[in-house]
Amino acid sequence: MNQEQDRDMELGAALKRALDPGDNRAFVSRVLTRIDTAPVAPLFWDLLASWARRGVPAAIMIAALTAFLLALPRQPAANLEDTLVGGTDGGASLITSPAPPGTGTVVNTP
Amino acid sequence: MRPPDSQRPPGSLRKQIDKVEADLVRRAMSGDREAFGHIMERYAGSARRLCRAILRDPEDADDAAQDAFLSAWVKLGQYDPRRPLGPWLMRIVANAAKDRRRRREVRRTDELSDSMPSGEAGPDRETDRRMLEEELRNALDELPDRYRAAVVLYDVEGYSHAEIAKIIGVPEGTVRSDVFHARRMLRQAMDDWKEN
Repeated sequence: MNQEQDRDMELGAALKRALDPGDNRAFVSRVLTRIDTAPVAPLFWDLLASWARRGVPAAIMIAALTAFLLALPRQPAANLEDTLVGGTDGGASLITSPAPPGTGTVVNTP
Repeated sequence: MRPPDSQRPPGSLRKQIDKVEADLVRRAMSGDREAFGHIMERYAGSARRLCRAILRDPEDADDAAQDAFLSAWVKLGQYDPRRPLGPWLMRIVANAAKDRRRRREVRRTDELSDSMPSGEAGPDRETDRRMLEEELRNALDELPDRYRAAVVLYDVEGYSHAEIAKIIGVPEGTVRSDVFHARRMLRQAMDDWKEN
């Protein structure tokens, strides 16, 4: 149905008169004065919404980052002996050899 | 976009008005306070009536409407100029009125207005008109808050059911139902008054 035809024009006009607020120009001047002078405090729900707009994406990013970090495969901690003492003799050459050990003996480089 | 007080002119004139409003919005968005003043002049009546329908108390209503326009000024950067300004603005207005109602206890007017004559209507048409207005205000006071906002936005301000649904944040079907029930109750009050 056409919306315009659907309206109750008589009731609408009567309500409009009943709710008539009076001088709009004075009202507008008051608002403009407030815009010029008073600091504007945001409405409670607007404030909440603005927090939500920032907070929700931030929370999603933090959650995604946490999930990513938790999902990373964990490498076992390197054994100190494997790292420092190379060779197959388990570091015996360090003790038994009369010559100072070379770098390859001390550090197990691949 | 909607012209002042929703007396929507047809065709090319409406397009012209829309163009003027689009220009005002563009200027206001770039910080032109005077342009915002013109926008307010267009919507002040609708905004104040909606606030009055929600809050009932005229002073509270004007305070809420002022809060709403200040909020709209601050949030103008968030407005999408491709969409109509009216529903966006009226949503802010409705929220401001609800916000004020939440924060402040609504002072319900229990007293019968002094201006309401007692019985003898007289031939004066102006008196009749005032009496009907008073009767309607009293009938509005009896309606649930949501009904009042819905019927005023629909029958007075000319918004569609879908637009009202967005403005007051309820489903479109609920708006249709609210308008229907509100009308029935207000019509009843009008008919009673006419009979008496």
